[in-house]
Amino acid sequence: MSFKARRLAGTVLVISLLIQIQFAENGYASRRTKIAFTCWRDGNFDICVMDGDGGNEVRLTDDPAKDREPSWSPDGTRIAFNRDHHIYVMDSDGRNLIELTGGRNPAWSPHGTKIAFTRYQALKEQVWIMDADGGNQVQLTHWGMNYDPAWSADGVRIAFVTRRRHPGHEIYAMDSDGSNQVRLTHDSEKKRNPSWSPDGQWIAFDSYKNKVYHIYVVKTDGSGRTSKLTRRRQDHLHPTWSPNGGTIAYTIREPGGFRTINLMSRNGRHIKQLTKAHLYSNEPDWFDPRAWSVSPATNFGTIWGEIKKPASAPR
Amino acid sequence: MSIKAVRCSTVVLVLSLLISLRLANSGYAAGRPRIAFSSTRDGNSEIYVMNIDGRNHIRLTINPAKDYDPSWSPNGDRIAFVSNRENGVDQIYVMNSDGLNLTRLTDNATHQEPAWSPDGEKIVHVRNKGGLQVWVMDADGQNQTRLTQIGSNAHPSWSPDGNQIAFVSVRDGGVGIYLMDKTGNNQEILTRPMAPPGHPSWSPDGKWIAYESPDEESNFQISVVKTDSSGLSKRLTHNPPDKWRPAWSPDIGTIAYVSVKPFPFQNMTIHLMTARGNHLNQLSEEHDGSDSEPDWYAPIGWSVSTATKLVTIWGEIKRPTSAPR
Repeated sequence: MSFKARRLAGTVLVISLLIQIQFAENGYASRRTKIAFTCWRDGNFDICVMDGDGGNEVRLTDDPAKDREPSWSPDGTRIAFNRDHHIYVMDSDGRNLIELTGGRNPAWSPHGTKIAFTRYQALKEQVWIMDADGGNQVQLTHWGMNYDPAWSADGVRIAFVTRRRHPGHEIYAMDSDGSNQVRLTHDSEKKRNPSWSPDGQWIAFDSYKNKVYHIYVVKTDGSGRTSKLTRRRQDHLHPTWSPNGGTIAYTIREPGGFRTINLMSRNGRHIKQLTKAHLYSNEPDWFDPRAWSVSPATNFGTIWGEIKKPASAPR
Repeated sequence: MSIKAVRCSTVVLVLSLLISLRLANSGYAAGRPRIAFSSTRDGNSEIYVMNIDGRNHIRLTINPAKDYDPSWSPNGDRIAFVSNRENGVDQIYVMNSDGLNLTRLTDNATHQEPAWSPDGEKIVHVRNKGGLQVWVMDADGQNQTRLTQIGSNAHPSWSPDGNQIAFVSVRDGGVGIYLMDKTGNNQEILTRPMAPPGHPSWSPDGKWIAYESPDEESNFQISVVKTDSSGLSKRLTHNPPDKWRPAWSPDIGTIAYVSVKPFPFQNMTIHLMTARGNHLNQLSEEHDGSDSEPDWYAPIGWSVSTATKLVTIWGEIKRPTSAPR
């Protein structure tokens, strides 16, 4: 490569880097690890986001309706949530609010094209899937009560909770078309809120035993191997695995307080309380832009930066 | 009493009976108890009324904007509600209970959650201007007065005697359901539940307040708390799905509330339960929208005697707006 060509390539690289950085700043959540969550700050339930260390809390909705169960789009530009049992999506700065359909538990697929959710029908609650614009709604489960859908990081499988007369509450996993349903737990105790580890090996969930909620993990290979992560005698709920797999966000019911979001290591060691004890924070959901890097298509050189993830990118 | 006097008083009696029946007919809702509510069955939220058996749904507003959260005047003639029909900002409006004679009461900041006082003179509400505070105004929108000063305050509800207001407060020094005088004085916490409370509603005898709050598994349930200093509280409902917006009937000891309609598709619907939490029936009709925010009007419990006590007239009488309760 001649000197001139090298200088030209360098210029192109710098320009495209500048373009990319500017691009990234257009997306509200593109620069830092974020947690969206249900917040109760003024007497109403709203959607908030904060940094992954608990800083920079911003409230996105301000409405008397009950806004909860936020789920990031994988590119961090949009958030789906449950408003009074209807699923809405909005930009990650709270603008452009759109109602999609009746239901709850929205879970945005890692590919960005689908949203799984649950809906009551004929006295039962079932897991459904739809396009991210609300179209093509398909029912995935048909027997018993099924809720709390959670995507595997590769977008292939969906974990959920099944409640039936026999065997009771269990965690199941299925393909995203509803096929290949496999039962993962076997103790029939009350369970909720499954969350996949990013490597797909484990599912965290909360379960009620001996009058207290604790967080457990179960192997996804069907072996049923389970271990309990939390020990202190207070309610630990709603585990949500961070995208890098190192930590789990979860909630604690505070004695004399409401509910806080906390961080623990993946083996259950408490790291940090992220929200204030006298308020109510629940249902954390992660967005992590750093799991993404980018190379320009021409392979001139690798640009390391914080880049908006295209909605259709594989993960 | 002479025969002539008896005949004369009978004529007076018949006349006054006719007059009172006439009066009752002129007010749309004067006769029978009703529930006002909001419904999205025509695609966007509108104000409706229905009988308390769930029949005879009548739409009162027709507007592409969002009309919601109705509150009856105590004599049943008027309904206050929230609408964003002008500039997309929530404001409080009143209309006759047949939907006519619409008037806007508020301006500028966002105004929500109207609740008409039992004497008919005042409407308490929430003003959202960089934060939520409870305000009160005359029923014609005059004399807007701020009642809460510190923290964030919402969900106001009048005691049946009109002397106190329950509300939800988030403030330093205590988060929970508070009580205050109708003037805003003597603000004191009543209860701090295990999870954030919302939408308090008084029992007709003033001894209990029903409210909503999420349970251990984040499903909303309805609880009651005693209004004396005992702090005694109990949860009335226990299982999924969510139940919220309790509205205690003024006379018959039932509680209307909002829950998920399980069939055929997910929507919110209005139900009735006993004051012990036993489900009675669903009031919402079959349609594709959601029904929410029930508010009672109940004229029964009122009879009238003529002042001379010659005879008792049983009929449907409009309650004077200034009557004690």
